[in-house]
Amino acid sequence: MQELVNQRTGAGWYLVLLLFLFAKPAAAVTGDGHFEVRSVYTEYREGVFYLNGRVSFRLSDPAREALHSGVPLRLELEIQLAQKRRWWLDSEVASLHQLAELQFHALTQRYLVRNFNSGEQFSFITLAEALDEIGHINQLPLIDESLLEPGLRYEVSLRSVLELRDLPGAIRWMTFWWGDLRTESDWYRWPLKP
Amino acid sequence: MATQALRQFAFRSLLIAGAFLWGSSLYLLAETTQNWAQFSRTHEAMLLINGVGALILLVLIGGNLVRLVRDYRQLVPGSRLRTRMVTMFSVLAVLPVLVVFYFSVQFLNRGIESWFNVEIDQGLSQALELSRTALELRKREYMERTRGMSGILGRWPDSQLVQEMSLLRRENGAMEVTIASANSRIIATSSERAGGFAPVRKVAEILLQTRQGLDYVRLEPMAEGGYVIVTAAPLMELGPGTETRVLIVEYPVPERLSRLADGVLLAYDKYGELKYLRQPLKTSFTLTLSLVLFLALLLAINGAFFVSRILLKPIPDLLEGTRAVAKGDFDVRLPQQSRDELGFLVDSFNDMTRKLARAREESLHHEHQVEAERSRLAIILARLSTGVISMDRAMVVRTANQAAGAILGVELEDSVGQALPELAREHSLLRQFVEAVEPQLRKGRTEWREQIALRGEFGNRVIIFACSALPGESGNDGGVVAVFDDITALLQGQRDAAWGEVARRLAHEIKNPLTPIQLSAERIRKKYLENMGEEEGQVLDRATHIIVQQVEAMKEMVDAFRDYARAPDLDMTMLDVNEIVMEVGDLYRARDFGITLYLNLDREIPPVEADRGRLRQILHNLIRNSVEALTGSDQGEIHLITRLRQAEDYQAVELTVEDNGPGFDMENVNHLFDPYVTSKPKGTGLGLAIVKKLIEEHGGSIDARNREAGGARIEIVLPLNEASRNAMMPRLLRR
Repeated sequence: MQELVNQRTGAGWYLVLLLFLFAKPAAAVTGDGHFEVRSVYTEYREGVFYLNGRVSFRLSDPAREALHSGVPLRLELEIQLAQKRRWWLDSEVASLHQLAELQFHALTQRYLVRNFNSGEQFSFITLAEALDEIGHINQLPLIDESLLEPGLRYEVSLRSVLELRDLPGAIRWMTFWWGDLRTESDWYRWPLKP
Repeated sequence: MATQALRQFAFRSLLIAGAFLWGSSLYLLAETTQNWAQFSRTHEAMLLINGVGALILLVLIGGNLVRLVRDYRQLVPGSRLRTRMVTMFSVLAVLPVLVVFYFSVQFLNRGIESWFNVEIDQGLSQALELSRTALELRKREYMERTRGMSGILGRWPDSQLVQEMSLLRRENGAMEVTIASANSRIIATSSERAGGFAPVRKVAEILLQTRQGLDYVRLEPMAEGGYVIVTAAPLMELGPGTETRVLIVEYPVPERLSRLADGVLLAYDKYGELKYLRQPLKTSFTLTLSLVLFLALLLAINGAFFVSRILLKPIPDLLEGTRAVAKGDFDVRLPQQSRDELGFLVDSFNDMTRKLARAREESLHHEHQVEAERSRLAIILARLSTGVISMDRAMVVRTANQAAGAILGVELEDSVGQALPELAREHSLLRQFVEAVEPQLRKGRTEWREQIALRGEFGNRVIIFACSALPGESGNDGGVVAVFDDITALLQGQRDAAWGEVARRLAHEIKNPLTPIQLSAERIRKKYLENMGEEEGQVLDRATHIIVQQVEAMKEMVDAFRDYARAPDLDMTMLDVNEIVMEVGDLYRARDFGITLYLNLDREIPPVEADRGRLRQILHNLIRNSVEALTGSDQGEIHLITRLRQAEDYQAVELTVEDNGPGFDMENVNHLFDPYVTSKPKGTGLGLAIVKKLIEEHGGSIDARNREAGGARIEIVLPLNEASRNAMMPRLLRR
């Protein structure tokens, strides 16, 4: 019995050690950074499904510090359209990535928002305006109706992810441990009926 | 064989490829810290490869460690030395690595920290401020131009606005001129861009500021590079009720100025980024360095195991070889694996075992030779009729041949290592032999010869004995060798031959004159007796009668000698000894000698091969001797006894004649069977000699001795047949 207790105690220590090694620091999970999908919906018009919505970005302090230190931030909207299957894994039908870069321009003291999909660039006086611009989804073509089969069940998923600009692998790996430089929202899902 | 070689080749190729891949990834991992963009995507892969490599190394080290501990506990040859070498190599590897690691981390941290200092920080900020100041002048100048343009354009009706705007744009060096209403509606625009551009969303921002009567001017970075200066000023209202309008003018910043400003900004941003990331950077560098050194350390420890295994590979072989040599296996040869000192040691070991094997072969050869010599000597000794005993001063037997045992009546060949005095307790002949030899040895004599008389089962034996000292090894006492021979038969033969010669000469020299003497005496008696007087005639008659009588007696004596000297012709037949004994006994019973004759016969005696007449003669002689010895005795007894003797290799009949007379004269007991030895006043002394001769002709033996109860006892042993006779012969010869 004593051995069993010891084994359980040993297993418990191993578990603690594994959690310590692989778990992201708790402060990073519950820090200031918070992304939230406020509203999102699909709109059907002339044979095409469009996506509209708003995503709220609130940068964590480390992210703000990084931004004001000259490190550009990458904010990405990941949109996935999957066919729901009852007895098997879901099948991905389409996947969209809206990538924008947020940078603080020290010379002009303005926040630059660069949309990589459209190539447009805008500058804003405040960070809130810049984030609002990024979080605004307006008439984004999602999929052509002809690519969907009537009668099947589809689901749209959306989440937003913040990470630093391309960093060296080692540093990027380190920033994972160092601070709340990567923030992502939960997946927001809603059905799509063709 | 070919499959194994192919497998080895594939394994080695895989090993080399894996090591190359690992080394490359390690190098690239180190390079990642310098070239971010180039290796950023492969960073995870490189980390994975190095992690797998480290894991493999750890597994290898773990396996080697387990094997080493197991070998150490099982006292496997070479394990302790290997443990020491691995420990030493590991410590030698770990200590420098730790020192290098410590100083590298220190240099790394200080090096990175040296990038960031107040001067650079201030310099960059000031450069940025300088850029701003330079651009601020431009902004003010362009704002003035815009105000001027707003004053001019406010006077023009909408229909002529575009024309005037284009004119003013060109005159003032603007890139784009736009008039927007308060509700952000574009009223007119003039642009040098193809297709024109209206920053609609910025209009609200501009109106927000101009509505408060403030000028609007800002520096705007462009997506395609470069800067523009956006200015805005309210247009003069044409009259009450008219909507508020604003003039927005964009001016290009000169390319050189834009490039310089960009350069300053890039440096500023880069510095800020590095400053922000310096802690992760330091940690990243430290971790990369740690990983590289950790891998190097693991490699070094693995190398320690590998090198110790290679270096000490001959040691277990040497130990096994030494043990094999200690067990006597000189054919062991160790594989040559290196040309260093250990290789030289292996060479020396192999040379030593070769020489030992050769020495052993030579030794075995010598041993075989010695053994062969010993065997030859043993055969010679075994075939010798002379007894040979080698012994030490305490008479402990070292070697003895079969003849020695046969002469002394004891199996000496199996008595090696035993003392003769102890063996002698149960053997009469040996006891007499020891009693004769031991005193001499005690006196320290080692070289002497003598003749020893032993009393044995079949009579007395005469032994000629010689003793010599044996050379010892390394000054030790080698003991003595006793060489002796039973010369009883030889002496007896010599005596018999001598007596035979005497008898023959007597017969020849004495018998020839006897007949003329007898004839002459008879003629004298016949011729002169008739002519002599009575008295003279009586004398002559008596004298001649005595002469004739004595001559007859002498003739009988000479005949007896002749018979003794002449070899008898035996008519050997199978006969019943008991029958002959009873027959002869009856003859003596019929005559009244006043002696009682007893027969004690063994009825189980089988037929004996013998000469019936000679056997009768033997019995007559013996019984007559006893009768004569008992003459005058009132209670004379003669016993005739027969018995069957069954020895291992022969069967014989014992015929014993005993009487209760005076017995033999002990002084003559050793010469009873010699001619002319008699205790009787009328005896010729040939009776027992002839009996002995006849018995020996039958292959038997005769022994005479006195009874303990008084009287004489003669025992005859007659072999049953030819086989028994042959078996008994060697014993009789050694008597």
